[in-house]
Amino acid sequence: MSKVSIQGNASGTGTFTIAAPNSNSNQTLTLPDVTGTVVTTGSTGGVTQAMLASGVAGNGPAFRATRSTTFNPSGSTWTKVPLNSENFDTNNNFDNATNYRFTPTVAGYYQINTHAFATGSPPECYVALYKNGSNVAYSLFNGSGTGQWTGMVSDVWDANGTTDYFEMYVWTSASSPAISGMYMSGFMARSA
Amino acid sequence: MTLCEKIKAIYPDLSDADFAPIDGVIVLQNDSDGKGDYIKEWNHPTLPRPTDEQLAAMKAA
Repeated sequence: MSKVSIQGNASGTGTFTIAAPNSNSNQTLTLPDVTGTVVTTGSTGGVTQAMLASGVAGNGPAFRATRSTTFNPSGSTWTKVPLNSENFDTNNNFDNATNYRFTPTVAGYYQINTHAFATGSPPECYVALYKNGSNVAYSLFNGSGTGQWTGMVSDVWDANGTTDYFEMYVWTSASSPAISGMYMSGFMARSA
Repeated sequence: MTLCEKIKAIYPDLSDADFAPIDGVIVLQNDSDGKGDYIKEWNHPTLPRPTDEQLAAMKAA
């Protein structure tokens, strides 16, 4: 028969009490057959991604970065969009001041979106998602006549939680285009 | 004068297709780090990559 051993701590002075609720029913609490610390409703921040079962949504990083003013990249040049403003950045993983990139510090799979649009009679334009400096997904937006032309990338990529990073680039055939409506957003879809 | 315009001035035979964003043989990039446009990839089958001196001369012209 397995046994239950309750062990005190010689260094502490507090008293831990196991208390029954005001109940007339009989209940059994079964301890998990693993080594670890028991989590209670008061363990704020104590449940990690690794403790969640498969298929359970977690509390991973999420962000949305924007650029408030129009952007004028050089023609025929892939240019990183300086997304210098944020709506939210739950884990401070988006750099909106220097490198304008999302570097998630939690390993996992991330849904990431990029978006831009041009108005009037836009030239050939592309919006792209870069991972670690390489173009990994892109979308073409252009057309004849006037109107509003929108390009968007929506994709899922893995990130190692340390060095992997994501950026937004645009490309246009115009010599001095004006791109607006730029944003990049994303969130952790599941842990690694 | 953009980098693309400088390169086209050095090599007038180059076309927009050579600079196409996905399958072009010349890839230009700007990382918004204050260093400006640069040649990321040069895979043209016959023309050599222009030197910094050639590009600088186009800027001065």
